[in-house]
Amino acid sequence: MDDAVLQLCKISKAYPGFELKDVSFELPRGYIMGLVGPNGAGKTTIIRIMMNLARADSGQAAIFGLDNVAHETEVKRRIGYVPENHNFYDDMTAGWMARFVRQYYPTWDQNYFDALAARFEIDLGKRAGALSKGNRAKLSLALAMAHRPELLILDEPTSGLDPVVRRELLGELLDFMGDGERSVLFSTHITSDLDRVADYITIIVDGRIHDSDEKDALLEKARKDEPTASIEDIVILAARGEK
Amino acid sequence: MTNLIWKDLYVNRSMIFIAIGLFGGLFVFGALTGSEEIAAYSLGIMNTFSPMMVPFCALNSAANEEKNRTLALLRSMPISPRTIVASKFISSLLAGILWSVINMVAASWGTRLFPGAGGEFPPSSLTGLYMMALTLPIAAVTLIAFFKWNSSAARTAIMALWVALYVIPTAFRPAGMSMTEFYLKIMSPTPSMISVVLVACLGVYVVGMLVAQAVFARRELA
Repeated sequence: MDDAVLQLCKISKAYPGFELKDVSFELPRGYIMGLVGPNGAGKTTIIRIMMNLARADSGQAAIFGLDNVAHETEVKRRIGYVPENHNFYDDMTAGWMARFVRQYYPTWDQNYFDALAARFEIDLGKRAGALSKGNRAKLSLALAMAHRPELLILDEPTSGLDPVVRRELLGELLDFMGDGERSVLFSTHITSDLDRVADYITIIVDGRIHDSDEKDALLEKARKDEPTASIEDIVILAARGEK
Repeated sequence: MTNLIWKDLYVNRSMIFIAIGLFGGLFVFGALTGSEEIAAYSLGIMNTFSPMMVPFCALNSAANEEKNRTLALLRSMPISPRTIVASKFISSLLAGILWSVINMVAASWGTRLFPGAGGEFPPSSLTGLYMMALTLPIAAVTLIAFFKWNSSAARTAIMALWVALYVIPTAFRPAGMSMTEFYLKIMSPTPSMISVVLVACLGVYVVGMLVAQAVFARRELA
């Protein structure tokens, strides 16, 4: 892909009892990719390597065509990242968090952040530690989106959220994609989320890429054998070691 | 960088304000009532806080990052690991410098208002700076332990080094000199001794910062 915002090439990483092996895939500009697999498959490890929170034993990750370690700061200015655990300075207010974070993003759009906070009904005067899990997820997403990043990386953003909040967040992702220049990598084990928003799907099982393709192409392949196959069926078959 | 330094000072505000409040309140009360005993007691508090300020600001700031798990948040933002480490070292040092300045001013007023205050340890305008400087290596090791491992390691380091700070100098006690005489000598430094200690300890602190930067750049965060 010529215009890939994200390219992983043979990334490997070993921990005691777990190994990520030769992970390669690409995400083209302007699309949403779902990174899906069972718990413990290695989704978070891949994302941590992209964000340089973990170091790959071998292989390369390029974001916007730049090495993610050598150009760490430059790359991160253009990324919005929502981790699985939404960590804030809990004694500080949500508004203070926004003022703190915005210092690091030249493209920060305060009006957009205020609009997101209002739409998500985040009380900016409330201590971050006092926010509910859903509101912490929303604040995390608002902080990640307010500088209008070219690439949004979300690690299990809907995990543990109720269906109403999940739907709001996924709806916001689709709005974010509006101008076709932005891309999203979205890890999840909730496959119904992918049905709604993903263009591409990468399936990872036991630290290895099982398949990475357009969602429709994956479904088409699976439906040759099973006409009603869903993304969930594909993941379950992959986890069982079947095609 | 300024943003991170300000954030750390803000996090440590209660420690700084409690120290200022305790000392300042007693000092003002002593000055208003003309009580030399109270003034001497307030100057004692001031000297107690001087060696604590930098290491405990560092530890408090480290513990706060760990409690909130915000090191990973900072690392996920466009901030280099070197900047994150440098900001912790600089903010702790700034808290120490601020306290030393307060110490200088108070000691200077204290000796003028109450010439007898302090007993065996008459207040000197440079005592705070000297005591702060002595603890810079402790703060440096504390922060290295935090950036290499976690705040528990930092706490262990600070406890062990604090004991060492009191025990190790005794190895250099001249024969025939009592412990009291020896500590009086150590705690009544000449200006040139203060300069040497300040430069040496500041040097150790800067080297410690470079080590912590190298260590943290390689650390993986959950």
